[in-house]
Amino acid sequence: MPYPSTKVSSLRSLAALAAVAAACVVSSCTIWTGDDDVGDWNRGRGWRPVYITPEEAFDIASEPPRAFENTTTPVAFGERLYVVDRGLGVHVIDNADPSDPISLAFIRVPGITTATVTGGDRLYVDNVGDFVTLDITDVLRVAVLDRDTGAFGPAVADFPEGQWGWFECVDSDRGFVVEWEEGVLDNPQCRL
Amino acid sequence: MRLALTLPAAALAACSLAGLVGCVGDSEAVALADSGTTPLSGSYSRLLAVGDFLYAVDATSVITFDAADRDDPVEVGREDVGLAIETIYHHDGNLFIGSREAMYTYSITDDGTPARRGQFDYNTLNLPVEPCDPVVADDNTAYATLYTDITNEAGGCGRARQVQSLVVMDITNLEEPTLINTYDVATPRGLALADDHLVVCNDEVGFTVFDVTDPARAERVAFVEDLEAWDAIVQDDVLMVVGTTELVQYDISDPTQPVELSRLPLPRT
Repeated sequence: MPYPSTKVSSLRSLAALAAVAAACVVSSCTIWTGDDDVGDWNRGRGWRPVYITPEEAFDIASEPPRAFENTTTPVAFGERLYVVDRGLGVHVIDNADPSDPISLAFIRVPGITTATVTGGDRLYVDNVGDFVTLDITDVLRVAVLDRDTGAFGPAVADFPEGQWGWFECVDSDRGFVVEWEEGVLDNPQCRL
Repeated sequence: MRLALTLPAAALAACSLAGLVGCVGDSEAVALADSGTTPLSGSYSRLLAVGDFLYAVDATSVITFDAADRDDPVEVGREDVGLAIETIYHHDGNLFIGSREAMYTYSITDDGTPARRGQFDYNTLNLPVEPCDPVVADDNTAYATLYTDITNEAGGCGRARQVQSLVVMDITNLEEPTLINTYDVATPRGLALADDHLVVCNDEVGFTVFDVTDPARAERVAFVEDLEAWDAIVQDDVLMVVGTTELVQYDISDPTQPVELSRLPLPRT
């Protein structure tokens, strides 16, 4: 059963602060004690982007089969199964016998969220917002055939989606954002 | 031969590819997935291949690529769908696009681009937060799982707000999907259809099989617990479930009694 919505959007009044303080005695959360002017904050919990450099991002290559770390979604074609490992790449599996699947290779695609395949020899993926066509005729020697820069749009937003509060602003000079992580922020400048 | 996916063309194309002689193209489309010419994608997909075309969703749009030259897909369409778009699913020439706000229905036109038909707004369900929603559909019914569990708001003091539902919609009129029923489901994630049964992944607690012969009275007929289930696909009688660290496959020739076939990577002994 869904809880009623109680969004606390401002802590300006002392009454609100007192009520929140009482609630926070029982749950662990952080009270911002400054006002809403950006820059008055020192340290507190929030969200920050995790970057990879362009060099890291565009390094698409085949690797030997490996463990699944963050697998999300499968694609079946012919006798093969392709399993997306979010942010990492695609596991290629020979599934001719579902009671004895064989992991053939891992195709590293940094930042990936989704993939599809045609003809068993072409794999299409998103790679940090680019739409990339791969030749997987030999899964151990994947080749990049085509890259449509920016065609896919970023899979990860420039802000932590679904969250509230302070976050570290994205600095695109640092590379591509591949995920958001929680942590202690120092003088965050952005807020949801 | 280019395959712009209209119903009669799909039926004839699939029939000829399957090598059936004297195939009469009636109005019932053949499932291309069975012939192995179309990939079968999980409900969390953001990218699909249908005939010669590829369909992708980013945060706000559906993008069409003409991949007649499979080495060099060309963008031929880009259309605003809505906000917070997350997933795309194809059935029988129709596309179902899931977002945090709604399920959108599209039909693939003769030139391969999708045309908007209608939508089902989740705010009609009076949800406290905007959920994530993968969608699957068959000829008459669409199924979406809605799930949000915000228990830790960084920088604020919020109470846990939860939405954990299976939403069942009537799509016999794609212009106006209507609500059939909603069901409470534990931490629902991806879904997969197997004829009259629906598999719902329940994240860390396993997966549930529903009998949806009557979608208004979906009945839980199986619950498998010893795995993590994020998304799944069904191919013939095999259910393939992907959890965060493994792929588990089941024989579901009897959907009420899934029989485990394999796990990958192999379990440590």
